[in-house]
Amino acid sequence: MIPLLAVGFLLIFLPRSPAGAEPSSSDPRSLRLTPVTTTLRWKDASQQFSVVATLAGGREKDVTARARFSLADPAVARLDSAGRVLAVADGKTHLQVTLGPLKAAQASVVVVDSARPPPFTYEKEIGAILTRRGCNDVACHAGVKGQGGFRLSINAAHPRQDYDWIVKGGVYQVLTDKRGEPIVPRVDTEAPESSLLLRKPSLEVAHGGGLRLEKASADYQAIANWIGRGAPYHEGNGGDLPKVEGLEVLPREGLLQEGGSRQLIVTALLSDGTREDYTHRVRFESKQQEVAELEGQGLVRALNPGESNILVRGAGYEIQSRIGVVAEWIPDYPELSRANFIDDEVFAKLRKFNILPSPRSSDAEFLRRVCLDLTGRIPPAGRVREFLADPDPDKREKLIEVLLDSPEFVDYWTFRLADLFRVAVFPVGINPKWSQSYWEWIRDAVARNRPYDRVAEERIAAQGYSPASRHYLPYLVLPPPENMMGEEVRVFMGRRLDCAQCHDHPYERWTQDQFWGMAAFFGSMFRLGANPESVVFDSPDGREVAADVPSPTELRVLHPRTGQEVAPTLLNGTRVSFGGPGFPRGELARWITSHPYFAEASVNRFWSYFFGRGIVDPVDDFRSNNPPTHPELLRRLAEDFARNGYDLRHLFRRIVRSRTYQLSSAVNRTNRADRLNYSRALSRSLDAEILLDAICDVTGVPETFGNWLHRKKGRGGAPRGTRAVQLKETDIYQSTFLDTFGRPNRFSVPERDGKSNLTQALHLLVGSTYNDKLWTEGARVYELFQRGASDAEIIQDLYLAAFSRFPTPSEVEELERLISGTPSREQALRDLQWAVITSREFAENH
Amino acid sequence: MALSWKPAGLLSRGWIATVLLVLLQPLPCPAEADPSGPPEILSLFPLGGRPGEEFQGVLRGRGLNGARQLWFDWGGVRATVLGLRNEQGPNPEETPQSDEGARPVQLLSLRFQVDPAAQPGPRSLRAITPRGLSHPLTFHVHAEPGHLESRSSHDLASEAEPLPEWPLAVHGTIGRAAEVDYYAFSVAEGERLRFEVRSLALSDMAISLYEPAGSWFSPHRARRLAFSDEPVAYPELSTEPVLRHRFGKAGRYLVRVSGFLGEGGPDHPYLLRIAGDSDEENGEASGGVLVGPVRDLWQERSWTRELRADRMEALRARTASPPRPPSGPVPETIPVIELDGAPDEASKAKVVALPSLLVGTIEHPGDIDRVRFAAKVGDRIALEIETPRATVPVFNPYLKMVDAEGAEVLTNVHSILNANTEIEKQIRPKVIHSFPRAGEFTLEIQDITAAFGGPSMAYRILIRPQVPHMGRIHVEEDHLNLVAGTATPLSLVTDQEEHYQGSIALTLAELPPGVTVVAATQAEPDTPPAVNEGRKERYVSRSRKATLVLIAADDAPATQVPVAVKVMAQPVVEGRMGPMTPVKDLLLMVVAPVVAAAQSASNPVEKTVAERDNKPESPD
Repeated sequence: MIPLLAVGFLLIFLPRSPAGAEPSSSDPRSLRLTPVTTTLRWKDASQQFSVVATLAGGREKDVTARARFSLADPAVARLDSAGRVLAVADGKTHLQVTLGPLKAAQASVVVVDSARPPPFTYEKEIGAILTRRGCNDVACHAGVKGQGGFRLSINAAHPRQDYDWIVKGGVYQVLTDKRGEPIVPRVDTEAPESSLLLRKPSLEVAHGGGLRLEKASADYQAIANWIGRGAPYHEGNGGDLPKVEGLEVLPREGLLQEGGSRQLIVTALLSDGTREDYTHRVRFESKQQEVAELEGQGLVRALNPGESNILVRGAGYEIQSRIGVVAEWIPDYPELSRANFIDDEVFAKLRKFNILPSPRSSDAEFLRRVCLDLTGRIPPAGRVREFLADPDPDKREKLIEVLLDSPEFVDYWTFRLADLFRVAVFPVGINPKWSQSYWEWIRDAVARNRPYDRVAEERIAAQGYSPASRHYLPYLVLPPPENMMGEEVRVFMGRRLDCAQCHDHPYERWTQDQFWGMAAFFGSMFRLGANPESVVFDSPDGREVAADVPSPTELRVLHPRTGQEVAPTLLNGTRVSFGGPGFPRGELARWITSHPYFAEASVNRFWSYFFGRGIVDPVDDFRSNNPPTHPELLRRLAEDFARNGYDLRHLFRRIVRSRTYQLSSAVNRTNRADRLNYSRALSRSLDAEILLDAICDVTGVPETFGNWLHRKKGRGGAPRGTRAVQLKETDIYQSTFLDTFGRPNRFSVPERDGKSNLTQALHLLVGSTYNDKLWTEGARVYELFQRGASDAEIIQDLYLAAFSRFPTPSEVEELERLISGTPSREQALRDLQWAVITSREFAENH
Repeated sequence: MALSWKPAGLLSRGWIATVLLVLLQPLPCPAEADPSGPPEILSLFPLGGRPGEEFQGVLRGRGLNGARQLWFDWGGVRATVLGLRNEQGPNPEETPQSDEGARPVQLLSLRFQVDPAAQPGPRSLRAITPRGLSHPLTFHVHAEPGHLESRSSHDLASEAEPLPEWPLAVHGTIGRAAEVDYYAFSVAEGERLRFEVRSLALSDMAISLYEPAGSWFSPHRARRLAFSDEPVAYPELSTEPVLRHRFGKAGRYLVRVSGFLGEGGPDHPYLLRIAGDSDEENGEASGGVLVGPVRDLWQERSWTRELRADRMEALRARTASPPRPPSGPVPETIPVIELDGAPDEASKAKVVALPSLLVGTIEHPGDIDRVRFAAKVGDRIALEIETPRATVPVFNPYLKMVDAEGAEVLTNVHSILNANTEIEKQIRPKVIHSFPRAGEFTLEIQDITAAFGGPSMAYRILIRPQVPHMGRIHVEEDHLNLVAGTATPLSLVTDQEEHYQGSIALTLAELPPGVTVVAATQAEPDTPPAVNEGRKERYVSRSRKATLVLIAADDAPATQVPVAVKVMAQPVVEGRMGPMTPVKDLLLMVVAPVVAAAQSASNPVEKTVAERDNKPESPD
C-alpha cells in the first residue's frame, strides 16, 4: 500500500533548480568562403557554398543566409537563395561574398559540358536516394541479413550488388552462393508504380520502416522514371564516369553558438582527380540531437551547448564532422584550478565550448560520491558528521587514500570485475567450485593490486586448472573459437569485431580474414577430462592431441568463405606459430595487453564507472564513427595507466582527485544540456547491488541470501551480514530485488542500462525490501524511536545516513510538521524512511 | 562354464570358496527383510581427541537401537555407549527434505578414551548394533590439546570465540545453513602457523584468516588476510583446506571456518587444527598415516603409485607364468635414467633400453624431455607414469611417441566420441602398445600445456616390456551385514592387464561359522555406449565382473564384532596357479534375525541400551 504521508515527504525531495551564468557576444571579424574553387560539369550541376564569419575569441558563425553573393559573369552560372551556384554555360567566373563591410576571398567557378545532361548511373542517382532516405542504414536494409527479405549494402557501398537485388531479386546467404528460395525483383518495369521499391517506402503497402518516400517527392519521381526507362544500371557513357574514392566534409570541426547554424559541404573525391559536390547526395545524422540537429541537407542547427558528431553517409563511405555548440560568449571566463592533466583536458574543451563547469562539489556531495564510486557504499552517519566538521584542507585526499586501502574497496572492485569477467555458476561450467576459485582469483588480484595487464593476460591465456580458465567452459561446453575471441577482444581491447565474422566490417578496417585469424588463436583449445571436471587446454603443437577419434573440425579453424585452415594471426598481420617458447594464445595475451588499445580500452571502461559514461561510449565499442569525446584525455589517461604499471588504484586515485570528478552536480545556464564534456557531475542510478546494500545500511536491517543449490536440502546460504556486492555468484543467490533492479545474469558481458521499469515501481510500493526493513528490531529509526529520540534527531540521523548531508532547516521544519500532523508517530516515521529510501536523491549517485 | 572349487584345507578354515568367472542363475532375494534396517551413522562430535584424553561425544545416526560398541580399525581408542535417544522433532532448516519419512535420527552418547600411548592419526570408526555394522566415519587422534566450540553463535567477526594458545585442535560444528564460526587467537610477530580443517565426507570446509582491524565504514569489519579452500575440485583429491600464514606483526587475529556455499547442519562437525608451521609438507601434522588392515593394496593406474626399480618383479608376482622374455636378459633391477639437465633437442636425446625408469622434471613452460629407443616388429611395451609431487590435474604429463619420421605413434591421451557425440579426451597414467613395424622411436615427455613448469612437475616413467598380469581387484562393498538365513551378493571387478588371458580365482577366507559362499551372476545395467571408444585397449584394462553370494545358514551364530574376511585373488594361466594375493579385508557381521524382529516390534531405545550395558552411566 502507498504510504500517503510519504507523498508529502516525496515533495520535499524534488530536485532543486541549478544556478545560472551570464553569457555575452561579439561581432564578425572576417569572412571565409567554402569551397574556394569548383568545377561544375553537366547540365544543372551545382555547388553548395558556405560563408563563415570569425568572431572574437576564435568562434565561428555561419552567415551563409545573411551574406550577399554575387557572380562576376551571370552568363556562366547562377545563384539560388541557399548559396548554391548552378551551371548555366561553359566558361569561368568568380563568386564574391560580402557581409556588411566585410568581404570574403573569391571562389573560382568553372563550368564545362553544361549543355549535356549528366550520364545516368544507378550508383549516383538511385543509390544516393536510397542513402539519403536511410534505406541502406545498418538498422534498416543494410543489416547483415537485410530487412524484410530485402538487403542493401551499407551506404550503397556495393551498388552493383544492390542493383542486382533490386532488379533481379535476391536471397541472403552469408557463406555460400547457393540459393534455396525463389528470388523476386523489386521493380516492375511494365508498371513502375507497382514496384515494391516504390510501394513499400511510400506506405502503399505495409513497411516496417515507415514512410520514407513521399509520392509527391522528386526522389519518388526519379525512381519511378528510372524504372520506367527499364531500370538500367547506367545510361549513355555512365559506365565511364569516374568512381567516388572518398568523401570530404567541411568543416571537419566547427564551433557554433547556441541557436546558430552551419551549412556542411560534402565533396566527393573522384577517381580522375576531380571533385564533385555531393552535399545533396548524402545522408546527414546528428549523434547528439539535443546538442545539434539537421535542417535540410547539411544545415546544422545548434540547440544546446555541447558537442555532436554529424555523420555523413554516402557512396559507400561514412565520414563525420564534429560540431561544438557554445553558449553565449563569456568574456571573463574564470581561471579554473586544476588538480591534474584530466582537468587540463576537460577544462580546455569546456573553455573552447564556452561552458562554465559547475563549482567544486560540497564536502557532503563529494563524500557520498567518492564512497560510492570507490567502495560501493554510502558513508555511515557518524563518518559524515566527522568529515563535514573536519577543517583539514587535505581531508579529501586523505579520505581517498583511506578508501583505496579499505576492505570495502576490495569487495566493490571484486564485484565490478566479477561482473565484467562473468563469474557465475552456469557460465563457468556448472560447478560452484570453479566459480568460487575464479572469484577468489579476482579478489586476490584486487586485494594485492595486481597490475591489470597481468590479470588480463592471465585471463586470456588461462588454461588447465588455473582459476581464470573457468569462463572458457560455460555449461561444460567449449564455445566456438570466434565467440571466445570476440569476448576477449571486446573486454580488453574495447572493439567489437563480430561484424567481420561474416563479411568485412562495414565501417572499420577489420576484414573477415583478420577476424578468423584472431579466432584461430582459440582454435587449438580442447577439453580434457570427463565432465563435470573437464577443463580446457591448448594443444602443445597446434595439432590434434590424440586423434584416435578424428573429428574433421577439431583444433582447426576454417575460414568460412574459403574453407581453408586459418593460422593464428594477430590483427597486425603477424602470424604466430606453434613451437615457440610459449603457445599462441599466450602470445596473443601478451600482444593484446601490450597493445595501445588495451590501455585505452581499460581506462575508458574504468572511467565510465566514475562518470556514468566512457570517453568512448559504449565502452566496448571503439570505432571510427564512435570517436572519443576527449581523444587527448583518453590518450593521456592510457599513457599514464601504462606508465604506472597498469595500477588500478593509481588510475582511480588520478580520477577521483581531479577537479573534474569533484565538480558539483548542480547545473548552470551554460552546462544544463551538457552530458558529454564533464562540466558537472551527472547523476547516476545506483546499481541493484549497491542500492540494496545502501537500503540495508540506512534501515540498519541486513539482507539474507539463500542459495537455491541447497534450497532443496535447506542447508545453504550466504553468511550473516553478507552484502550484495560480496556475493560470489549471481545465479545461485536468489533475490527478487536484485533481479528487478537489473542485476545481470553474467551469461554474456554484462551491460546494465539502469532504466526504470514498472516492476521496480511496484517493488517500491509493496516490495519487501522497501517495506519490511522499516520497523523491526535493529532498524535504525525503530531503535531511535525506542530510545526516545526526537523527530529532529531522527530526521537528522536519517539524512546523514541516506544523503550524507544535514537536512536544511526548511526540510526539518516541513518534516516535523508532517510527522506531528499524523495521528500515529510510528506510522509517520515509517513513511519518512520509506520516502527517503525511495527518493531520487538516495537512489542516485550525484 | 563350471564352478571350480579349491580343495578344502588349502587355507586354515574350511569356509573357502574359489570362484572362476562364471555364469549362474541368479539367486532369490533374502526371504525376510528387517524394516528397521542396518545402522547408519551420519556424524560424530567431536571428531577426535588427544592421547590420554577421556571425553564424551555424540554419534548421530539412524538404526542405532541396541548399539553396543564402536569398532575402530586401529587401536588406541575405546568408546563406551552411554545412552541413546531420538533427536527432537525435525527442524526443517536442518533435516533434508529427501529424508522425510525416513527412520528417526538418533543420538548415541559415548565416552571416548584415547590411550595415552595412542599414535596420532585418523582411524575409521563404525557403530556395531544387533543389525550389524555401519559405514565408517573418521576419528582423529591429534597431538594438540583439544578445545570445544563453546559459543552457540559466533558468526560475526565481532563475536569471535577466543581460543587458548596454539597448538590447538578446535572441535566445532557448522550447525545451520549459512553459519560461519569465527575464533580469535594471538600470535607473535613473524610467527608462522598452519591451519587445517578436517570434516566428514559430506562437508566441504574453507578457512579464512582475518585481522580485526576494523575499517572506516565499520569498526567491526575484519580485513581478510588469507583464504583457503582446496585449490581444485577433482575426483579423489581431498576437499580439506590447509592454510599456512606468516603473521607480519604481533596481535590478535581471527580464523573463520565456513561451509562451502553456506552448507551447514548437525552433520557438519569439523576439527580445526592450529599449529606452528614448518616448511616441510606434513599432511598429518600430528602423526602420519597408520597402517591398518588390508585395503585395496595394488594400484595399477594411479598417478601417485610408486614405480620402483623392482616393478617388473612385482608385476610377475601377479601372473602365473613368466611373460614371453624380451630379447636379452631382463634385469632384476630397472635402470634409472635421469633426464633433468639432458638436452631438449630430439637429435641429442638419450638412447635407452627396455625396461628403463625415466626420472625428470618439466623444468620450465614448454620444456620437452626426450629419450630414444629401438623396437622390433611385434614388441609390446607398456608406459607407466608416476607424478610424485604435483599431480593431475595440476600437472598433466603428456607422452607422445613419434617414429623416425616424426609421425605420431602413440600418446597417453585417450579420445572417445561419447554418447552425446562430443569428443572426450582423458589423460591416462598408463598406456600399452604393440609395434607393427620396427624402428627407432622417440618418446617426448611434456606438460599438456606449454604454460607451466617448475620443480614440482616431476615425473617417473617406466618404459618396459608388457607383462600380462592380474590387475586391480575392486571390491564394491565396504562391508556386509548378513542376516542369518539370508544371502547377500558381493560384487568384484577384476582387471586384466596387458592382454592377460588367464583366469583369476577369487577366494574368501576366514568366513565366520555358518557362512558359505557361492558364485552367481547379475544383470549388468544398461549404459549408453560411446559412439566411438577410440583405442580403448591402449588405455583401459579389460575388466570382468564377478558376483559371489554369501549365505548365512539359519543357525549361523551372530557375530558380536566384525569378522575380517580375507578377499584373495590368484592368477590362473594355462593350468598354472600364481601366488595367492590379498585383495581386501572385508568386514562382515552375521546378524540374528530374531533380534531384528524384536527391535522392530518395539523401540525401547534407552531400555535396550540399558539392558545391554546393565550399568548405565550418567553423562558428565
